[in-house]
Amino acid sequence: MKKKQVNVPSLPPPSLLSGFRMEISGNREAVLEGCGGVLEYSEEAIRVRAGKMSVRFTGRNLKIKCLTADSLVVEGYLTGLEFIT
Amino acid sequence: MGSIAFVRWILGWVDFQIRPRRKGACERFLNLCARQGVALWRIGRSEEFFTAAIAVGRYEELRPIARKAGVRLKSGKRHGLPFLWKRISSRKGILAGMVVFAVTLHIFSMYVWSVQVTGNTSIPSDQILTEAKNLGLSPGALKSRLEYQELQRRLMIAFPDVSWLSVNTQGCMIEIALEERIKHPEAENQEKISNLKASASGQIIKLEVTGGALQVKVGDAVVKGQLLVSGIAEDATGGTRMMRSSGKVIAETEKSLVAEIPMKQTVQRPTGKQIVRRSVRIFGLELPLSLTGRPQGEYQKESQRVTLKGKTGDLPISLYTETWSEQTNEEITLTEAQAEEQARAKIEELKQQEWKDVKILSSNLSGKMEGDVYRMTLYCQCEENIALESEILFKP
Repeated sequence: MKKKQVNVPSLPPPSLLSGFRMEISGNREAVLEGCGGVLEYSEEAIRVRAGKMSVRFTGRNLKIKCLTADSLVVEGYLTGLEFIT
Repeated sequence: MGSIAFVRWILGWVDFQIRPRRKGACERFLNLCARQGVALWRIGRSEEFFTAAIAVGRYEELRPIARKAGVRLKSGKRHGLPFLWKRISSRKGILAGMVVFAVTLHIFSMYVWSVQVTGNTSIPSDQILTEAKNLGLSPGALKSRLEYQELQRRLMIAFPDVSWLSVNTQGCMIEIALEERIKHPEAENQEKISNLKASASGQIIKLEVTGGALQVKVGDAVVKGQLLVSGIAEDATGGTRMMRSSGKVIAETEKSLVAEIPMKQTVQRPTGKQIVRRSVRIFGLELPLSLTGRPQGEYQKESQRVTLKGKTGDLPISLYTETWSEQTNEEITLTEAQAEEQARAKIEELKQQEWKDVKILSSNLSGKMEGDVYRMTLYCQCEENIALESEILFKP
């Protein structure tokens, strides 16, 4: 008796950024969902908590356009993005 | 995004400064706000402090968070409708102005501002507008009192040459759109029995007869009233046939015109005195702007109405100006040259009136003084249709 093969959709491996979602529009805006808070805020760098990691945006004239319980919008000229464990 | 900004503006919002007491306090404050569901926006920072904006009703919720985070808050500029309303409500004039504006706008939009006629070619617009005015449709009429279907029906009855008419509203403008009837050509009455007679004496040069029995031929000389084409013809068996005569009989004729110009004439000359009367018409109401009455005596009147125009058409405001120029009767004696000039003009006028379908082959113009009158005579060799239809009537 032949075994019937079933195609199971492949899931991405679990990441350290669980529940965190980020959408970047060019180099001018980033929308972050599921972030845990602001750790650092200046015109040159913004660091936010994202699950077990933190995400650091660097650039010029950076601003937090909007801040709610689990999301924020970073605006400005983004020049760098770092994931720090 | 615009709708969020609008809602924020409606609810009102306030800018505030977040001054830290220790390092990292501002970031902590932002996180505490986020965790407690207090939405902030326009978050910025300078060397010394952070800035942010919050809905005005939630500002008080920030105080315990600020205490916990170790920051001091300082409220700044207030924005939005509640603050605007507070500012306006203390200024009664602006409030009254807004109310007056709204009421005026509402009242004025209840009336007809202008009436326009489109689609007419032979019926003058003034005639249609006058009839519409008689039916109650004119600038200044209350729109709610107009019965458009009834107006259309009555206007159609008033103008039988209109095949289709519609009264359309475009805001405060009323458009009377119409289409004129295309007239059918009249059917020729074949039962009529007629002759063609000569309307003038002359020599026939061309015949284009389509009905009737020809009585003349090309080259014949005819006198005025002579029978050219007969409506009664005899056939080969001796029987009589009656018909309608039709066609053209082109003949070379001699015609003359006389213009007489009296050498002594009474002419009216302006004395230079002018009286100007003005009035303004607003929504059909005529308001005089001058207190001067209608002048007595010899005056010549010139009038002009200027209607103000807006983007969509005529406005219901027009300025009427009447200029009355005083005239005096003056007796003048013409020189021969002046009399000749006047006579020539009169001859031209007579030619236009009386010789419309006449082709002039040659002409001779002569003028002379005859007592107090300058007489000018024009003799012409012409080519014209001299066929004149004359009905044969039978008594039953």
